[in-house]
Amino acid sequence: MIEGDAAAALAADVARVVAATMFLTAGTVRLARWWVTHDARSAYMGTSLVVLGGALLPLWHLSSSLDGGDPQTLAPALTRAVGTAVCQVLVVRALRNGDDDSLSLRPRVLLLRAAGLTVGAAAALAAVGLLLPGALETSRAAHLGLDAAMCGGWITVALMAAGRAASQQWAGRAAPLLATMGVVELLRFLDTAFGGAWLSAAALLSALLGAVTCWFALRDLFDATAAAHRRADDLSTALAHAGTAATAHDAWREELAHDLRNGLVGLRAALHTLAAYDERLDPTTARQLRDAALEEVAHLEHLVDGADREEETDFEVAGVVRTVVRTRRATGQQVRLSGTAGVVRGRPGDLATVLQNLLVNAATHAPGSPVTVQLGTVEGRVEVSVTDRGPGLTAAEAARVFDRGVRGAASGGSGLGLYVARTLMRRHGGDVELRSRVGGACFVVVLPAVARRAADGPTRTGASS
Amino acid sequence: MVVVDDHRLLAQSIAISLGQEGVDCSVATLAAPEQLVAAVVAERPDVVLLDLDLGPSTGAGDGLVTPLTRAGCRVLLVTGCTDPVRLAAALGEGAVGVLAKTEPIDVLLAAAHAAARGEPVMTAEQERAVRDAAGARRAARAAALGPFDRLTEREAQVLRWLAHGQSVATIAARSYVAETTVRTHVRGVLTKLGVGSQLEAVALAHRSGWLGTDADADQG
Repeated sequence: MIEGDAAAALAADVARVVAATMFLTAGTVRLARWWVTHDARSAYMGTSLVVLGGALLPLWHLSSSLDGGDPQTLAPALTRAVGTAVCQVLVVRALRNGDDDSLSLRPRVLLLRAAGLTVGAAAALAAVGLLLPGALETSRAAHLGLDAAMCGGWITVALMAAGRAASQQWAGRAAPLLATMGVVELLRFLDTAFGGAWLSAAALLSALLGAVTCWFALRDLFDATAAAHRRADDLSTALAHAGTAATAHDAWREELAHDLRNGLVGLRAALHTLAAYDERLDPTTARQLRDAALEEVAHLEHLVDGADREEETDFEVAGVVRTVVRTRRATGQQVRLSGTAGVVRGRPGDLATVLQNLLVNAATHAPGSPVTVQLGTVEGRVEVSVTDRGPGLTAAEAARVFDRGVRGAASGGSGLGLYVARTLMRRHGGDVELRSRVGGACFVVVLPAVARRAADGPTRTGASS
Repeated sequence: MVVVDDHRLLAQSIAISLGQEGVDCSVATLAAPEQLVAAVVAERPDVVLLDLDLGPSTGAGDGLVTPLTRAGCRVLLVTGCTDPVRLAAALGEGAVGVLAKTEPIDVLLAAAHAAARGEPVMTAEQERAVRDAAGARRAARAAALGPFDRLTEREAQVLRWLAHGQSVATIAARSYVAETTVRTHVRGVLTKLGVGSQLEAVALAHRSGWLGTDADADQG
C-alpha cells in the first residue's frame, strides 16, 4: 500500500516535471515569437508561461525528499499560488493589451520582474519557514483555500478570455486551456479534500495541457516566421524592381544629359562660327547656320521641358507637327509631311514629345528610310500617321510593342518608349495605334478634334511654339 | 578635310569655320559604314574628323578608323565619347588624336590644322594617359564581371528575372519547375557572387554593369 502510494507519488512528480518543462518550453517559444513579431501578446503570454512552468517545478518536494523529512509546511503551496497569480495577471494583461501594437514592451524586463516576484516570494516563504518554525504549519483548510483560490482565478481568466473570443481569435483558443487549468486545481482541491487518485489525475492533466500549449506555441512561431519570410521576400522583390527602375531611369537621364551636352556643343560651335566669320560668310550659309541653331534650341527645349508644367489649351495640330518635323530634319532624317488637321485640346508639348518619339523610333528601326507624316481628320478625330519603309514589325513584336518597359535595344536619345507615348495620348482622350502595313511600320496618333474653334473666350494656341 | 559627325549643327559649324580659314572642308552624309567610308575616301581628304557615335544610320564609328587610315586619311577623333577603352582602341588602329567635343572650337580648329600639317596632335604623355585609363577600365570591368562568368545559364536567367522584380514563386511558375529548384539556383547565385541576399545579388548585377551587358537582350 505504501509502496503503491510511493509509486503513484513518483508518477505524479514525473508528470509535474513534464508539465513544468512543457510550460517553460512553450513560454520560451512564445518569447521567441516576440522576437519575430514584436507583439505585446507574445511577450505577456511567454512570460506568464515561463513563470507558470517555474512555479510548477516540484522543487520543494524534491528537496524535502532528499532531506528525508516530510514537508509539513505550507511554503510550496504558497509559492505555487504566487506563481499562478502572477501568471494569471499576465494573461489578463495579454487579453487587455494583446492587440495594442503601439505598446513598447521589453520582454526581458517583464520576465525579470515576474520571475523575480515569484522567486522573491518563494525565498521569503523559505526564510519565514526557517526563522519561525511552525508559522507556516500546514493545514488542510489552508491548502483547500489556496487550491480553491487558484481554481477560481483560472476559471475567471478563462471566462474573461471567452468573453473576448469575438474580438481576439487567440482568446477563444486560450479559453478552454485556461479552464482546464482551473480543472487541474479543482482536482488538487478534491485530492486535498478526499484523497485518492485525484493528484495523479491533476498532474497528468497538467502535463497534457503543457503539451498542447507547447504545440500551439510552436505552430504560432512557425506561422510568424513563415509570414516574416514572405514579407522579406516581397520586400526584396519590390526593392529589386525599384533598383531596376532606378537603373533604367539613370540610363535615361544619362542619355538625356548626353543629348543636351551635344546640343550645347553644336550651339556653341555655331555661335562661334557666326561671331568669328559673320561678315565673311555668304548670306545663304549664314542663314542656314542660324536656322539650324534655332532648330537646335527647339530640340533642346523639347528635351528639357517636361510636359508637366504646360497648361492644356486648344491648339493646331499642324503647327506642332511642323515644328517637330523641322527638328528631325535638322538631324538628317528624311521626313515628308502632308495633309491638314484641325484643332485639338491638350498639351502641345505632349504631342510634340510623342511625335518626336515616333520619328526617332522610325530612324532607329528603319535607318535611312524616308518617313511620311500624314495629317488627317477621320470621324471627328485628328490622326497623325508616321509611316516608314523599314522592315516593319513581326506579329510578336507588334503584340508587345506598347508593353511597359519594351524598348528597342538601340532606342535613341530622347526616345521614351511607346508605352509612355500611349499613356500621354490616352490622357488626352486619344491613343497611339499600330496599323498593319506591308513593308514598314505605321504608327498613328489619334486625338479627339475640338468641334469648332472656341471663338467664345480667349484661348491660346500652342501652334506657334 | 571631311567632318563625319551625326550632329549636323556641330559638323556644319566646324566645316564653315575651317572653310573660312582656307581649309577645304566638307560634311559627310551619314550612311551605312561601307558607303560612308567609300564616300569619304572618294574626296581624298588629308584629315577626317570622326565622331565615334554616329547615330542610327551609321552606328558606332569605331570600325571606320582602320579603313580610313588604310586609305591614307589621318583620322582625328572629335567625340563626346569618354570611354577610354574605345578611345585607346581607336588610337591603336591609327587615329592621330582624340579631342573631346566639348573643347572650345578654337582648340578643335588648331588640332585639325596640326593634323592636316602632319604634326602630332597629342603628346606622348596624353596618349599614354588614355591607354593607361583604358587598361584600368578594362581590368575593373573584368574584375567586376568575373564572378558572373561562373554562373550557370539557369542561374544567370534566374538572376535576370529577379532583377526584373519577379519573385521566386513567379519564376518557378513561368519556367515550369518547382520553387525549391529555383531556390537552389538562387542559392547558387548567392554563393558564386559571394553575397548574402537576393537583393544584394541584384544590386551587384546592376552595379557591375552585368545586367546592362546582356540582361536586356531578351527584352525585345
